[in-house]
Parts: sequence; structure tokens; C-alpha cells
Amino acid sequence: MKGIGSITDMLVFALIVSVAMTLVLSATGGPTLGNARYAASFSSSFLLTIQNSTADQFGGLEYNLGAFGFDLPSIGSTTKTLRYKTLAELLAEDALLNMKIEVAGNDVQSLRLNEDLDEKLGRFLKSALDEIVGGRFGYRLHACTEPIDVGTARLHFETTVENLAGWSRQAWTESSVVPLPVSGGELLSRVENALGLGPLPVDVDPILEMTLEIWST
Amino acid sequence: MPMSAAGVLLALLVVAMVGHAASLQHQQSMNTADDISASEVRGLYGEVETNISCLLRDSIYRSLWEVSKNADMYSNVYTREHAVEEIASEYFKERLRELSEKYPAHESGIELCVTDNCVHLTLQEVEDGYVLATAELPEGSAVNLTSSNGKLSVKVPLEETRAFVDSRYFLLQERMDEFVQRRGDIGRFWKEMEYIWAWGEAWLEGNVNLSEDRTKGFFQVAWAMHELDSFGSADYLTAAQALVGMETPATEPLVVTPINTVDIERLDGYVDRARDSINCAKALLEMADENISLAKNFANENLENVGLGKIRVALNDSESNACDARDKIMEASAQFSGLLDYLSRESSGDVVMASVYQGLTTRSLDPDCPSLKEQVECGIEGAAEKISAVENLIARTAGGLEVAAAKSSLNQLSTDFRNMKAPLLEEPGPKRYVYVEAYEDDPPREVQRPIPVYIDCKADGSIGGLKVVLRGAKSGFEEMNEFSQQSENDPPSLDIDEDLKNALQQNLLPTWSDRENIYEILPPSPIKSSPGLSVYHELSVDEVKYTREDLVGLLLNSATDSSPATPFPIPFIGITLWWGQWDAEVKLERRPVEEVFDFDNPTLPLANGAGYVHSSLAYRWDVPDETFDARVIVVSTKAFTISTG
Repeated sequence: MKGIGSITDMLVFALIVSVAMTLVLSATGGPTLGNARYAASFSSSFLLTIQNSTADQFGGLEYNLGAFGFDLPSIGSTTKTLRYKTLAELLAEDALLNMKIEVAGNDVQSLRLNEDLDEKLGRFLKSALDEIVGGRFGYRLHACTEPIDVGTARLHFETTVENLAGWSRQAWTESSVVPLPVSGGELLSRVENALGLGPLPVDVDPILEMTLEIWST
Repeated sequence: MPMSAAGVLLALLVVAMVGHAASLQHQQSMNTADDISASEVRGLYGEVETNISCLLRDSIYRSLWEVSKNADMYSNVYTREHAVEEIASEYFKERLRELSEKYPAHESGIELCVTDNCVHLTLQEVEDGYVLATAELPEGSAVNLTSSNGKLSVKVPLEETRAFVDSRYFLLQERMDEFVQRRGDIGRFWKEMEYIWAWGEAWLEGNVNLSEDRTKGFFQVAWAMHELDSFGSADYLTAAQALVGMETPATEPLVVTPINTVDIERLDGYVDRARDSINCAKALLEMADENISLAKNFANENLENVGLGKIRVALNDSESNACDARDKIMEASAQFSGLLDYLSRESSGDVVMASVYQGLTTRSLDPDCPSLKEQVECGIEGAAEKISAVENLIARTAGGLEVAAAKSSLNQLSTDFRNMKAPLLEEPGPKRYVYVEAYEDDPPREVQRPIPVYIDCKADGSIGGLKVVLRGAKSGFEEMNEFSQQSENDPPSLDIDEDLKNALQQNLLPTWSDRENIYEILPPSPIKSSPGLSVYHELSVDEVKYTREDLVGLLLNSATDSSPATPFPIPFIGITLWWGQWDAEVKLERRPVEEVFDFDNPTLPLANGAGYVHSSLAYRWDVPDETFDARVIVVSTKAFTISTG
């Protein structure tokens, strides 16, 4: 009997040590907490990089003025080269230069001289962000402005740049804002003039909001 | 279940370990949360910092645009920069206030507190003329940053922010100052083009047409040339338009050789050597005379003792002197021929030399006025013949010399020789005068200038006559040179840049209204890639006025007729210098506008039409001059008229 009791003690003791080891290991935080901290730190740095890195660091951005895919007549140069603006500033200026008009929930195709900027900036940002991330995470950068509601129509800007191929789980989300290059008052007055409307009782928010999602496996 | 005391102890130990592990886990979670909060707050601060810098840059963009578009309104660079700083400070404050109001709606962790105190803003030039702006934020401004879990909150005072402005304001300012300060070059370029063109017309067509269209074209090209010098580009589209309709492209090169570039020293060299030979001939004839006198003395004083031997020697010497004198005359002839050969050779590539050659060899002043060539050739021939006659006289006397008649023969020889020598050596007065049309100043009037003729035919040929004629030729060359040096411009050194020429020839586009506005969005490509600026100008010529200033022009008192240039006949060398002088005045409709764009940096998001477009910073200046003058003087050896129309 004494021999059986000792064996039982040893078994219970082994069981208790196993449970304790499991608890102690989990107390070190494990991989989940480390990933969260890394993702948070990475997304914060990522946003700061977007706010501070200039286009020149990624080869510069060049686009052409035109409309509906047609070039303007060759009176002067239609090429615009932007080198010293930060990626966030480029997004804010794209938002100002390429505001979309939405009527009854549908985008209206309007004459936009700067539509090439929208297209080229999308590709440029994708390439720049891929370079910054360097394959460590997946990402989705969503930028949008508060819509300007002028009754029948809404003016807004929205764009998304992402690379989520192979990443399945959203690890972190962080947001940031960039002011548009003009004040709300000036933007409103420009909208009123462009649409031929009188003073509108709306408050224009000249802010571009950027939301960055970091994705991991 | 039975359990020993050791088992109980072990169980308690495990419980304690688990408790400790749980405590560690909690602590680590807290640390991670704190790390994330700290990282978040750091990110928020970075965001606020860059956003404030963005606002500063946008404010500078706007104030630069406002000030630069009226750059000439400010008396100097300091007041202009101060205006930029003042305007930008106001915009910056307004935008800061707006941002502080909008932040809570977007970022709950940011509370931007901006006081109403003033913003102190300064501009600084950095490499390549870009701008670095520094703003001291309103005193007492701060930002409260709170992490999303609310556990970390910091208040950071905001003191200073900086922004790099990617527009080369300082470069535009510097280049425009250079353009305005050195705008006298426009007049210089324009004058040179007018001069070259007029010179070419005077020589090639014999008529200088004072054309308003051409002057307008040249003025635009001169303006464009000065723009190119200052900005590395020009408003070539406008200049090209102004050249439309001109007979020949303004940029076609013309080889101009003004009269004052004629190598007078070389021409004088031939004349001087010919004169030296003439002087030698004169001296040799004097020596011949002395030898005849010596022979005469032998005969008169000591004939018995010396015999005819010494007399013959003296006469032979005298004959030899006369022979040498003739040779010297032929040397003078050779030098004059050398002058004509030189001019003839040079004439093939030089119209001025050709006209000098023509003046020396034809009766260009008047059909009754023999040319220098005729006078010199007749003079040489006549003088040589006369010397030959003297030679023959001496030889005849020496050949027929007898002791008995020696005395009388030599006395007769001496008398005859001196009778022949005197007219040969004496400088004759003018044989006759030919009167040609000329003009004199003060008051301007037409006069008949007498041109003396010394040698009409071989019989007039003498050493004295040749001396007078050759001296006259030398002074004629000097007169020509002096007159052209006083009247002619310096040799023009107009060199139109090849790239500008190409731009002027290849950019004939229709004109559009509101070009300035179009250039703001679509500035034309610069001619030179560095410094990369585009240029616009608004230049409308109201009137072009020509005022003749040469004597014929002043007498006619009208610039509308076709009238000859003022002739200045120069005796001996047979050249008439034709002097045309006029003042061309271009009067502009209003003060010209000069504007330059930072082509390489289309960075300003500016309202244009219904939307916004990236535009280049513009720097606009109203040039204070409305009238421009160019005095053109053309001196030609070929007759020409001056007409308008």
C-alpha cells in the first residue's frame, strides 16, 4: 500500500508540475502579446513614415494634366513632377484636386484635369508602401474626407491602397489625419462658385482621415 | 486519496509558483499596454508636428503666390519678404485655429490648444533658391495627447515649427531683379539687330527700309534674348509671333565688316613706301644736279689740268643718278600696283575693300575727276619720261664733249637740267577743281565741295605732282578712318543663342487670349533645362517712330520720304562715305509685364476655374519703361537711300 501511495504522490506531483509549467509559460505573454506590440509599434512608425517621407525618396511622382484620358493641346507642358511633398501631403492634395461628385449615391463622371494624378498616385503609393512594409505585414491604407453635402449632391474623396495577399488576420488598426491644403471656408466658397450655388449652410471639414490596418498571418 | 507531508508541500509550492506566474503575466500585459500607449502618443505627437508643418507650408504657398504676383509693388527684397511673412502668419494662425477645432472630431487623443498671441514667421533661403520657413507658434500653445486607453496623457508645449517650401521664390526674385536691373541690354540687342539689318540693306540693296513690323519683331527678339540671359528661357511663343511676316528670318547671320575695321595701316604702308621712292627719286635728281655742277666747275676752273676725264666721270655719275631716279619712280609705281593688287585680292570677300578698290580705280566721285590710279599712272609715266629726257640730255652732252667746247656745253647742260628739274620736282597747285555735292553742319546745309585735280594727263606727271597726289591719298584714308570711327558703332557682336533661334523658328502657334492664365497651369518648357524657369511677357507696341539725324535727313525734315543718306566725298581716294543716322523709338501701349514661373516645381495647389490645379510659383513684374530708343548709324562706301514703310 505504501508503495502505491508513493506512486500516486509522484503522479499527482507530475500532474501539478505540468499544469504549473503551462501557467508559467503563458505568464510570459506568449507570441500573441508580442505580435500585438510589434504590430502597434510598426503601424505607428508606418504612419509617421507616410507623414514624413517625400516622394523623392521613392523616385518622385510625375503625372500629366488631361481629361477623360485625352492630353491637352501642346500649348505648354502638361507634365507635373512632384518631388518634395510627403506621401501624406500628396494624398491630401489628391483629395483636394480630385474631389468626386456623388448624386443619389452614384459617382458622376466629371471633367477632371487631374485624374491622372489620382491614378498615378495610387500606383506610386502602392509601390512606396510595399517598399516601406517590406513584406513583414499586409496593409490597407484607407483615406477619405468628410463629404460636403450640398443637397442633391455630395462631394467627397476616398481612396484605398492595400496589399493583403497572403495575410489573413487584421493585427492592428490606427488612424491619423492630414489637413487639406486649403481652409474649410475657402473650400466651401470654391464649391459654391463651382456649382453656382449661393451660401451653403454647411460646415466643411478640410481634413483627410487616414486609417491604416496592419494584417498578419 | 492518501497524501504524504512532502506531497502537501509540493502542492503548496506549485500554487505559489502559479500565483507568481499570474502576477508576472498581469505585469507584462500592463507593460505592453504602456508600450503601446507610449508608441501611440509618440505617433500622435508626430502627427501634430507634421500637420502643423503642413499648415505652415500651405500658408507660405498662398502668401508667396499673392506677393509674387505683384512683386513690383514692394520697394525692395526686405519689404517683399516681410509682406510674405505677414500674410503667411495670418493664414497660418487661421489654419491652426481651424485644425484645433477639427481635431476632436477625428482624433480623440489630440487636443490642440492655440492661443491668440501672434505668430512670428521668418523666411530663409536654402540651396537653389528654395524657401525654409520657421514659425514661432503663439506663446502658450500646447498639445494634450492622450492614449486611446486613457492611461497615458502628456501635455507638450508647442514653440516652433519649420517647413520646407518646394518653390524657388528666392531664385525667381534674384533672376527678376537681374532682368530689371540689366534691362538696358534689351536696347543694346535691339540696336545691334537694327544696325546689322540696316547695314546689310544699305550694302546689298542700296536702300534701308525703316519698317515698323521689322522693328517690332527685332524688339521682341531683343526682349527674348535678354530673358534668355536672365532666366535661361524666354517667351519664345510671343517673339515667334512677332517675326511672322518678316521678309527674312531675323536670325539669319549677316557678316558685317564696318569701315573702321579696314586695315588703314596696311594701305598706308604701300602709299608710304611709294612716297619714299618718290622722295628718293627727288634726292637722286638733286645729286645728278650736283654732279653736273661738279663737272661744270671742273670745266670752268681747271680744265687744262684735269682734262675731260673727271668731267666725264661726274657726268656719268649724274646720268647714273638720273637713271636711279627713274628706277625709284618705277619702284613707286610698283608699290602703288601692290596696293591695288592687295585691294583687288581682298575685294573678293569684303565689300568695303571692294569699294575702296573701286574708289581708287574708277571715276566714282565725278566723271570729270580722274581716279587716283589714273593720276598716279599718268604721274609715273610723265615723271619717268621727263627723267629719261634728263638722262638723254646728260648722255648727249657727255657723248659730244670736247675740250674746246666743254665749258659752254656744260654751262648749257646745267641750265637745261635745272630748267627740266624745277617743274619735275616742284609741287604743283591744283590744275582744276571738280565740285561735288556735300553737306556741312551748323546749320545743316548743302555745299559744293571742291575736289582738286593735279594730274590729268601724262604731261602733268612730275615727282612733285606724284608727291601731292600720294600725300592726298594718305590723308584720304585717314579721313575715311576718322569719320567711320566717329560715326560707326563698334563692330557688332550679336550672337543669338542657337536654342533660342530654334525655339523662335519652331513655335509658331496661334495666339490665345488669357495666355497668362494658361501659363499658370501649363507653363511652356524652358529653352535651357537649367535653372528650369518658364517665361511670359505682355508687350504691346503702340507706335514706332523714326527720326532722321544725318544732315540730309535733318534738311528734309521728314522721315516719310525715301531720301539719300548724307554723302561725304573724300578727295584723292575717290570714295564717298554715305552716312545715315536715325533714332528709332518704340512706344508701348502700357508698362510691359514680365512674369517668370518655377517650371520645375509645379507644386502649388491653386484654385483654377472650377477646381484646383498644381501650379508653378509665378513672379510678376511691371517693367517701368514704356519707351525704348535705339540710335542707328550706318556708314557705307556705297550710296544708299533711307525710306520708311
